[in-house]
Amino acid sequence: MLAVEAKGLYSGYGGRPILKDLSLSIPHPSLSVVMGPNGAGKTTLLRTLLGMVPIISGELRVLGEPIPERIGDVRRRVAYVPQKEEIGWEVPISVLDVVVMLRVIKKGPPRKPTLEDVEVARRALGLVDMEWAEKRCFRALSGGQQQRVLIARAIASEPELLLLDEPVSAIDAESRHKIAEVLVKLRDEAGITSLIVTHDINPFAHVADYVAILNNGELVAAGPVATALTPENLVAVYGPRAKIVEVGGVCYAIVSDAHR
Amino acid sequence: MIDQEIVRVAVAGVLVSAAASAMGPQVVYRGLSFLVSAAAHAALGGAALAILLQPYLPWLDPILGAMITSLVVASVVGLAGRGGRGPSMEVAIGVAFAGSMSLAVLLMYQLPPERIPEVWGFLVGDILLLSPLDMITLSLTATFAVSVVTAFYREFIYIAFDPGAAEAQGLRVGLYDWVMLASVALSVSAMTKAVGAILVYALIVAPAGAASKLAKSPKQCIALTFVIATISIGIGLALSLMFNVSPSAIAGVLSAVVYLATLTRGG
Repeated sequence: MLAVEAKGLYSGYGGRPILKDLSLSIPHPSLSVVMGPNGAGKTTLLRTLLGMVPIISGELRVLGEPIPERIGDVRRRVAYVPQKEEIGWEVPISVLDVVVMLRVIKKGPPRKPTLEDVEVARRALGLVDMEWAEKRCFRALSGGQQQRVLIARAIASEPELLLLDEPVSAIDAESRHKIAEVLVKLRDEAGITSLIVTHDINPFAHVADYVAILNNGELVAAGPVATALTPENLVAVYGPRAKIVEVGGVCYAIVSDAHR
Repeated sequence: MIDQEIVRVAVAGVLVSAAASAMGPQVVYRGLSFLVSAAAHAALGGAALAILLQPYLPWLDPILGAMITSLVVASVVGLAGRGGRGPSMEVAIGVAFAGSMSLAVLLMYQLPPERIPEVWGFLVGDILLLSPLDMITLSLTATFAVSVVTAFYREFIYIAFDPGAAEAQGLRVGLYDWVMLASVALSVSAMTKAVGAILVYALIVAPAGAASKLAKSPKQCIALTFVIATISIGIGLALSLMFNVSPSAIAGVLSAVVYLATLTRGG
């Protein structure tokens, strides 16, 4: 079974495609990365997988289930980690309450956490080294700590597929390293696929199994790191300003302004 | 012996505080404070329309018209928020506010002059001049607001905290948002008629704004909102008995001062 299988996929709003003719075969379990500059269609891809952006044509399967027909089942089997910018900072909520959240939503009404939910949430916090913070207010944590808590929240909902939107954007190096380490552990020990969309692949380049490169809603390249992450493909996406550095057989793109 | 009037006013203050503690935090979490003002002013247009239509629809009481237009405002805001939320909702609130006020003014020109004060009465209620009907309205509104927030407490909190993830995991964000917006709009329009716009604005937004800065959990935020609102209205009423001042205005100033004090705490 593949984590994600797309064939000639077009998706977008009002019949206007944002993703165009996308074909992907993301293995399961794996640590996979969809990369590209801002506006490439990365978040649209995640939202399409979650049934939140209409499919115009083509085929899409997530964990073997057709989208949108079986979206309800798929949503129970995946967990979404949004960009931190989507968080409502005015809500005074504890870390532990954040971590049980997705698990409780998936259970359906009455959405009241049980002791088991709390225990699972504590274990998930332990995985990201944040168990010490369970009683702290979420908004009082640093950006990197918050991101780790959001990943713990996804893990606590016991998914088969994690969808992460820019998980290492604007966070400290220690948290980046920890996040990559946790996602590798989830793949190797729990058989969970992580699909990361990011404009900065560098923290994951050495651990990713599969990379897809998007630009303007179209697929530039896809496959194992060695074949997809070539200097030519990186320059095609990030432009001639990108400096390509090869370390240990893996190409890294250094872009002075990743938003352009 | 405590004067019955004072007891009635005190009970009214507690009821408004209860409704404010249920609805206020939800409005503040979503950055939709202006909704409170828009809903109250939408009530004006609805009341004017109901009075105008009464010759043809005798059952259409102005309070019903006010509630219907408040619901329309909530629906427009909910519709605008689909996909975009915060900023789109804020614009829709502004448009609904301007539109409903314009409608009210337009319709008031068509009303017999003796009925125009009835329309303005939807904004200028006074907690010191409550009728038995106003007390019933306040009791029902407080019960309604507290019941809605109790029934959908976790859904409201989860959506306010992370609407994207809530929707992605299958929560019907649009529906819950509408329930919340409609409840706020209905509560505000009913309470404004009874106690006046100043007290409703003051007690729904400022105490919840202060409480959200101080609280460590949503439940604590509700409790703090209630405490701040009740103390503000209590002091307002006490001062109004001693001096010739408006209790609503005092409560409004005190709530605003508490909010400003929380801003100086930092972090």
